[in-house]
Amino acid sequence: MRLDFEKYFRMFLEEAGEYLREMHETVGRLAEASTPEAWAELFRRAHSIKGMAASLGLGSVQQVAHAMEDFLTWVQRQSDAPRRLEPLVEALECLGSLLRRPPSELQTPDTTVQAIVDRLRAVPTGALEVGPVDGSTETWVTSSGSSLAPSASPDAAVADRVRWEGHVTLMQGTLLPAARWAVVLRVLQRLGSLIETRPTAGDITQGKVGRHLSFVIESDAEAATIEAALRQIPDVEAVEVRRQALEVPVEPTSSDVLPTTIRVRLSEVDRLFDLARAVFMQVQRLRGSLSIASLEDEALLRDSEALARQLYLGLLDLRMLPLEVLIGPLRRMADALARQMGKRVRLVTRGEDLTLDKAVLEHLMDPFIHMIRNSVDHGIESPAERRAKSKSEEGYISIHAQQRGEWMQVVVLDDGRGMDVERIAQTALERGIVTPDQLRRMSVEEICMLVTIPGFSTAEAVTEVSGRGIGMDVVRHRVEALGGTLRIETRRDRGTRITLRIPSRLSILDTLIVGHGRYQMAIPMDRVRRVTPYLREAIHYRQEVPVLYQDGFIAPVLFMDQVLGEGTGQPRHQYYMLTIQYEKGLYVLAVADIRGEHRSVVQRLEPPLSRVPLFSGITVSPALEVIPLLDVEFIGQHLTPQVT
Amino acid sequence: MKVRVMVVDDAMFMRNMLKEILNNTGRYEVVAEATNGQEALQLYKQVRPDLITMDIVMPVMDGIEATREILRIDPQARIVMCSALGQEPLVIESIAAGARDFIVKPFAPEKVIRVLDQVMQTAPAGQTT
Repeated sequence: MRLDFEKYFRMFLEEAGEYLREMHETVGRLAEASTPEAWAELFRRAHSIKGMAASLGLGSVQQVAHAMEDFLTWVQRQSDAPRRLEPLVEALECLGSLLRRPPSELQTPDTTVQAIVDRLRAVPTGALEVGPVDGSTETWVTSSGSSLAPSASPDAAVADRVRWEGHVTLMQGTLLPAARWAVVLRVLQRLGSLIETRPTAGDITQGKVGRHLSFVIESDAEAATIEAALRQIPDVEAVEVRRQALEVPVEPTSSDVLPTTIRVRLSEVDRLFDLARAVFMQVQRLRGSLSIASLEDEALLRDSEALARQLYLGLLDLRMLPLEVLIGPLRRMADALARQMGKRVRLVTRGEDLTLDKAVLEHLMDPFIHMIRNSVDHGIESPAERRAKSKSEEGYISIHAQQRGEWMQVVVLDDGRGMDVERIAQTALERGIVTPDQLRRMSVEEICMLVTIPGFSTAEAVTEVSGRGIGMDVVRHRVEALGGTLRIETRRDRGTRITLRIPSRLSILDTLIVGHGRYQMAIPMDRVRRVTPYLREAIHYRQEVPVLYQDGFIAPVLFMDQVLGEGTGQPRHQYYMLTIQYEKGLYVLAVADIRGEHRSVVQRLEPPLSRVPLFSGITVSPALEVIPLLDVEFIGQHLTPQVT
Repeated sequence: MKVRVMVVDDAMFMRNMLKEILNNTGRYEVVAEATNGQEALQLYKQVRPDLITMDIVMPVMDGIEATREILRIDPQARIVMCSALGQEPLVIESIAAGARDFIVKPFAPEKVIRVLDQVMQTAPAGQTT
């Protein structure tokens, strides 16, 4: 299978863009107060961007990110945080502008990139005394009344004008390419009437340009004249002009006209998916609020529910992409890395046509990059070393994916030297991560898992490849955020096997996080009808059951203390009253605290855990706490007293 | 005959640097210096240089505005914008306003001269070569 670079590059853009936004925010926070966490976070993000860029061969991005990493490493070693954040801000802005460029321009660093890199490197050496490279904080300005647009020629009546088509290429590393194209357009306009260009004047104004431009012009000048005029423009590397070929109309056949597939933007699919989800939930909500009068009504509602569900699931399927989009680039990366390190590696994959939700794939990109890098860099030995161990000179790495129901299991395996369990244990002891006593009771597998603790590293040298060993914590973090699991097994000189278990689909849910005493729980947002403050006077008693009157309904009140079986039912002074919709009506859940809203991946519990009452799933908070999802249906059906 | 140049930049550092680059060629001569667009406009009327290097971000009147004003007086004026990296949208706006070309800070002397030479070779705007 061939790699769809573009698709992968888009994923990179999305993810890196998000990181950059976060980093800007973090830098903003740092300007106010310097915390080690914030610096560490910046470092982690820079590292991730570097990794992604390296695997796509985006040298410029990689260089800037790498320089940031070094800068941040230096910062973290200082006792005082630096007062000057400009080099960092500049680097972030530089990355931002790089992400707007086409990938072809990102392979080799140009002078802009070099300047940024130099400045970052200058800080630790104390050489930074110059002012900012660029003090401006400009945004893209769309010039109004731009005269760059093709001139719809008023003198089109000129009959002997010839239509020329041409192609201009800029030199690699041209500074301000969009501005350069603007100059090219001006020159073309002086030569005749410009019929069209690609990129268009609009693209150029917005900076959406590359190294190439093609145009069609109507001019009485000769091809040689046009060529010469264009060649004179600075930064122009090559020009080609020829008479425009006459378009021969071809009778279209139906297969030309009617393609069997269409391309749709993923963001568009996402939008439709969100809509379908909203419809699905809306219909479910209807069931609660409608009073069903007849069997026909009931049937109608059930049909609507089924249709909404099909729509939702159908769109969910559209978001599924084959694992290959992830594996393809990894294969290239492994090759390139191995070459760079003088190793021989064979990467074997199975199950790459299995599909995963796009969002899941995005989360897996980093983990896979880290795992493959670790295997090539630390796992696989040099050919000489392998020979000495009577292994074949060529190292073996395999990625094997299997579908197991709603789960995908991916095994990443290498036949390298394995992890040095003793050294991991030793390091953990030295760092105070475990006590000797704890260590004695740990299995080999548990010791291996220590490398997934943030910042844990046994890498002796900082290498370009596996960096500072911050990889495995990212892997674990991501996999667990998806509701998946991670297992590491290793045998000395035999290799390492990492098994990931990941849900193929995501169920993303908006939840309300509530707190009660020492517990935290999530409640599906679409079930919460209303939140009201606690008013003792508003509570009435019917058949000795506390109730609230709401919208003409009588809603029994359940105090969270009772639900959790905690305490004596001694009422607290303050509660939040959540009106909850369940299949048969409403009830009110009184909780101590509302901690916030959270959109997250929810993992439904499977047997036997699904038999646990009260909770129907688990979700992971942004702070990586595992939060149980309250089974509001169960509470409604089984714990709510019925009142009439 | 030397090409008479007016350098417009609010930073003396930049003006001196450009002056040195230009004067060193022996073909260009800086005959006027302005520290903002307003001054540039005044001086242009008096000095009528063959070529102007114009910074973009300046106090009082910025380079884009000054470019428009000068071209209003003299549509043949040859104006080359001086831009920092990251000011690309402003450069594009300047080109749309009629500037001939641009040079990028930090200046690389050969590149600056190449661009200026090229601008001096081409015919004034609005005419075909």
